[in-house]
Amino acid sequence: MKESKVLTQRVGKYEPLDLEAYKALGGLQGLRRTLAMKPESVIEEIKKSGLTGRGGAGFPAGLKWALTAQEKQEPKYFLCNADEGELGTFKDKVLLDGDPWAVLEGILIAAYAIGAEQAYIYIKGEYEETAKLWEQIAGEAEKAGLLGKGILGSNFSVNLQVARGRGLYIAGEEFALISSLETRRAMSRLKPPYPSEEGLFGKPTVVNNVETIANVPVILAKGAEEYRKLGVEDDPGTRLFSLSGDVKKSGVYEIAMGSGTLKELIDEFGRGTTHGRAIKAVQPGGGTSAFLARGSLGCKLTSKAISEAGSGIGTAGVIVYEEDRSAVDIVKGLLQYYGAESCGRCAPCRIGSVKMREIVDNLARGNGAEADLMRLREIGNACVAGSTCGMGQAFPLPVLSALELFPEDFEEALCKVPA
Amino acid sequence: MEGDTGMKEVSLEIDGKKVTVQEDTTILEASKGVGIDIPHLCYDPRVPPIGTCRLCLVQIEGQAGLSISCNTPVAEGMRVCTENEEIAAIRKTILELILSQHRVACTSCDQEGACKLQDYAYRYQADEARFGLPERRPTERNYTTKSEAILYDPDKCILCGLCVKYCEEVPMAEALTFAGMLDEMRVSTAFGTDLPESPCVLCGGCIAVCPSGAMVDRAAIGKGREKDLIKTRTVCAYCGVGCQLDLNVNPRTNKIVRVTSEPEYIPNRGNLCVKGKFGMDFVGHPDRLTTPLIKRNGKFEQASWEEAIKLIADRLGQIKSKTGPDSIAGLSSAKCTNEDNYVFQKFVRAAVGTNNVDHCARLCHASTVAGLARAFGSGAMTNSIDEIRNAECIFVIGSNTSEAHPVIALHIKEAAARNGAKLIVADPRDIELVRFAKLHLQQQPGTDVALVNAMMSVIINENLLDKDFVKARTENFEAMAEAVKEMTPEKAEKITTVPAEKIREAARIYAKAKTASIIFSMGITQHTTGTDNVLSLANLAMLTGNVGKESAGVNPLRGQNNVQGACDLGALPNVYPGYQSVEDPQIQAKFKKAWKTNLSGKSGLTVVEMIHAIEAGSVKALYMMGENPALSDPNLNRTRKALEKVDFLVSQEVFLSESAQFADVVLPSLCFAEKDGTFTNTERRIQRVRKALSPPGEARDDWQILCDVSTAMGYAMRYENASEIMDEIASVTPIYGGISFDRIEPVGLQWPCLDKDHPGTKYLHKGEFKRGKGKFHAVRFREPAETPDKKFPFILSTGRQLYQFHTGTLTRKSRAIDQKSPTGYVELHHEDAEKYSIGEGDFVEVSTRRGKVITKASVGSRVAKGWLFMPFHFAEGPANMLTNDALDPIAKIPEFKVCAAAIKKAEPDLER
Ligand SMILES: Cc1cc2nc3c(=O)[nH]c(=O)nc-3n(C[C@H](O)[C@H](O)[C@H](O)COP(=O)(O)O)c2cc1C
Ligand code: SF4
Ligand code: SF4
Ligand code: SF4
Ligand code: SF4
Ligand code: FES
Repeated sequence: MKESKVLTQRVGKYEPLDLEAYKALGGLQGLRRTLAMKPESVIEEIKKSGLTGRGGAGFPAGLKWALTAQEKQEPKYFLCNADEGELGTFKDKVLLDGDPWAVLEGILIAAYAIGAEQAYIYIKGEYEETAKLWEQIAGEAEKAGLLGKGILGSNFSVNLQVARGRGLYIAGEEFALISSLETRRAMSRLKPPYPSEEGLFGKPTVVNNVETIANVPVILAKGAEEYRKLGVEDDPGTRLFSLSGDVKKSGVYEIAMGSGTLKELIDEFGRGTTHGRAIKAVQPGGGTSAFLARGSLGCKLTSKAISEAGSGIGTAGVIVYEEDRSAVDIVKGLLQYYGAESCGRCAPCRIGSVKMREIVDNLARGNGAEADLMRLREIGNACVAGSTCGMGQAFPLPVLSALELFPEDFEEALCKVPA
Repeated sequence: MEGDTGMKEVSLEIDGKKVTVQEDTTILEASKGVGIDIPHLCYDPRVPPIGTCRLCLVQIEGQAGLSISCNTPVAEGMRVCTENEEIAAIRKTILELILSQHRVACTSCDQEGACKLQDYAYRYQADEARFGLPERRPTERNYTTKSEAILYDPDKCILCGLCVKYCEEVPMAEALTFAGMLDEMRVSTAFGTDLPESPCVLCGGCIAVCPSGAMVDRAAIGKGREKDLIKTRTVCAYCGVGCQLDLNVNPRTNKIVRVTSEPEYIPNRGNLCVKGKFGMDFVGHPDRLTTPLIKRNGKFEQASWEEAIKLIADRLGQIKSKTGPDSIAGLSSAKCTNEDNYVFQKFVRAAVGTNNVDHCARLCHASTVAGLARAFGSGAMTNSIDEIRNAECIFVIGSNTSEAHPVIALHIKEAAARNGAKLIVADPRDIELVRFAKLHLQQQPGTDVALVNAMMSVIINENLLDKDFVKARTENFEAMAEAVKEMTPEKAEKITTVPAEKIREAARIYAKAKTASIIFSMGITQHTTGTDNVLSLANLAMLTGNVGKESAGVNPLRGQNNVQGACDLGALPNVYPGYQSVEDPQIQAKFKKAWKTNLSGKSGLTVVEMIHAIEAGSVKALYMMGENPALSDPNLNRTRKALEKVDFLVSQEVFLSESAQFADVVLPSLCFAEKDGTFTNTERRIQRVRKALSPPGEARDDWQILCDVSTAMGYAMRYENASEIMDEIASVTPIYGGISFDRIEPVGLQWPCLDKDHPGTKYLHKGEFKRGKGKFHAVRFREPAETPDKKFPFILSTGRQLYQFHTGTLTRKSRAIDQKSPTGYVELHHEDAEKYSIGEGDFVEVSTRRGKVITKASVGSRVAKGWLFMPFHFAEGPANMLTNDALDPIAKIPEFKVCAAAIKKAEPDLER
């Protein structure tokens, strides 16, 4: 298996602020082509490319743009989601730092296509250097006529505001992000209406992940048809897999969809497990994806194959766990993080996340009872079925799958002393 | 299939039951309609769905996963299962999770026995200890700790967010938010500021929608559990909106514990404003009058009813025989019921024998009645409140709706913020509605005719008029067109200070809208040019064909709760009930026959004329029912002197008001909560007022007192109850012809309602105006009676404020209100304040040619430079010491809205 460097082709090849170098490496072709097209045709091109969201939910990007573009309300907004909070996921940073101009080019194309005159990029609070770089990029872009009035001599104008995250995982959820930009509490909202109908300041808004948007200039420069040559029919293009956990070499690898298996990714790019032990489990789609046990590792790297194996591709953050780890400890670690992040809107998620964390902590301390396992299932089911957003719907998945796949770990953790 | 609202109907199946509903109905609402109760804790029809409790999950056939029924619209052919094993298990878990954070014992909660959380917990056999019993936490200060109105208990709060959403979506006050995360999460204000200092407008909606006992009326705590209270549905006693509400009374204590309202009530849809919600403390107040009082040697002494009534009958009889019936005058009341007003005017006309009867409508809307009657033939709001929400353009002029008619403001804000209506606000002040407006025309007080004429000249010049309407339905167009021609926007700019371009834009927006509704109030009427103002608005509406159809019209918002009814029932010097002229011999004959006595054929005196007649010595006795002219009339000094001077003064009152103190005899009467009867709200809706409490002491119904006095004077009047009076009203008043108590259950009827089969009238002048053709009037701009000069360089306007009502007699008895609005003030622009070295809260002296008062300064930019504004509710800084009693020549309404004034910093208090 080998990498297919499309989005990462320029990473490390130029000084991030150097626009001229970016151009010399083939940059801005997509934007130039875009400005000669009608916005509808740009959207059509994205639809044809089959590009899906890389932020976790996998929603078709072209459709999202079309829905927003068709709304009558003005103005419209474009938000680039660079909050990258999912555990085991660090691919957006590679693009933000390594090829910022491509991300900016994608933002400009998106804004043009949906008719937005104001765009935002919301950068994770912890990415301080990245945010500084982006402040500079925005300044440079303005000087170079890539932001502001009449971009590249066209009639198209757009401004970009660089906004900073607040160190909250939930702020990456699209509505929480919108609320946060409105200087309200980072809290999700009921859907529908979706952001395409009532987003930022109540106006039609597109929220796209950094990686999603980095695909856009490529599609516009090459054309959808050429773009689709990589990847498989129902999952075209490449994805940036963040590989971490118990592997020798963690890192971000750009792989054409379907061009290898999970096992190959771990073995060839991760150089195997840290201690050479057998793999116990893998989370293929970031910290909120369900575990896959050793037997499922032969599954192909496509959304469909990973779903069929019982998990989800999510953010393509592959986290590997070696055999000697207890599922209880792993889950405890995950809940340490997610159990404190509910935005508080939905009753099951707000209370359930805290309760699950308490119960698992208790289990890990050896104080758990049989009934606690039932409780975990009850809460997990209520959250997954009964939550508004991806947070509540997903954070219990690792717990529920661990109870399913590794019941013995939980049994073992129960308190043996009769009460 | 199309329903009559143009909305499609769809059929679906819920738990095997066939259901047909409108397409925008949610599954939850559709289920409710067929008696399937899907559990829900965060749904309230008053607010858009928020979907936070997640209890209302259902399974829709063919869809993966569950959907929340409160946010899922029905669809044709849909099949819904509202509960199965999986759903029941999830509901149980969610309830158990909620209970794990419910940190209080239900036994100490006033909501006990009437609580959804309790009901559902029982229904799903939820185990409150399933996820651990909650830990008690020490009580901490929160944003309501200092509030006299509301108490929030985070330990009972289930964090559903309904209160936050309500505050954001309905009053649009955005006072509430969530603070803290997870276990620490709670409702708060921004930065936790105390509620009285927050943008909260005390509408009480957050309490109304709260599904638990977390948000409650502070004053109600411990006064009775929800299940022990008796709810009596009645009508608010304050403004003309006529909100329907429930008085929740504890029968053991005979006290109102709290006020609530329900979403199906008209016209307020379960919403209230601060006065209706928190302004009822006066009802059982210890200062209420409980026995008749007779003044002897300058002091009131308690008296028996027999004694008091005899004295009144004797004195009035003497005066009548000595100086004639026209030397007696009566002031009826817009606070009293239709039945009281009918009996009052009948008493004055039939028992005393004069038409000297009027009431405070004179001070608010006499010019509306005069103007609209001339233009259309009928002087009331042409359309219904509920139609406002669907208007394409709303032109609010001279109405600070948010403060004077708060619940109508909710409709306007909803139209502008959610339904895309274009709102134009013409007001000298930067009022709350401006926030929602597309255009704010800040005209100089008293220049409305110039503004409206200029709009019309633009409409005519740009050919935006509705020619067909003008031709088919109106007359006298040419004269009007001739009169407005000279008023170009540029000329109007000089007079009004509104930029010409804005006037043009307003004219275009108004004229181009398919439905445009004009809303106005005292800012239009309380001028010496009040009738002209109204006429020019009527001109504007007719010019564009905006009368006689839904969501359009000319809509005066009436002030007092029953000012419409008091006018309808003939508490006016020139008309019998139903606007039938006293000077028309045929009508006179009809009433002579009905009342079996002789009647005077001469129009009587108006309010201010009565005062002037007392000064001149021609009126010797004044009979007041629930009026307080000592604070509400213009040029107070003059009014007070007159009340002192009049030979014999009777006051029927609930409190010993400023005016009652001048009386020779004071009779204790009932307030609305103790009465049966009807009020007619500003949209002509006749609504039932129902007795909720037994009255204090010996107080009696106004109409009963009047019957006794009348009978003692030799004109016998006797009714068994209010319903019988209404039957008599219906028999002599064509517009009320079809009204009876049984017909106006449960939501009232709008007049004209001509006979028992008539459905009432939603909007007037459909197809034909009351007077036949609508009549244009040639109205030209005239200056206000008093304009600023060197000595009095400011323009002073008076008006209302949200928290108080009228003369404050009632509202100022509420602790919740007193906390938010303790005293009077004068608003001035910050540059003027600087010029006179006046700071926020400083004492200032405001003076006019008639008097001076000392009040506090409220500095800001709500008024423009050179203008002052004072609310008139406060006895300690009575604005009406200052106002001008110059009258509109037609309607005789005084010019409250404009006079020339001076201002200076008052001597600092020595203690400060
Ligand atoms: C709790 C939570 C956190 C999220 N965090 C991120 C994030 O950090 N970055 C991101 O791009 N999307 C995140 N998402 C997904 C966004 O809500 C949204 O779907 C995404 O930004 C859309 O972009 P895409 O369609 O390009 O993927 C998060 C979702 C949830 C529920
Ligand atoms: S699922 Fe959790 S994070 Fe998402 S909206 Fe509900 S409470 Fe907030
Ligand atoms: S009383 Fe009304 S305005 Fe005040 S906080 Fe509650 S909902 Fe908001
Ligand atoms: S106070 Fe009441 S309405 Fe507000 S969040 Fe709590 S439970 Fe819900
Ligand atoms: S004062 Fe007016 S708006 Fe307020 S509750 Fe009473 S009737 Fe309604
Ligand atoms: S009622 Fe639907 S989620 Fe609460």
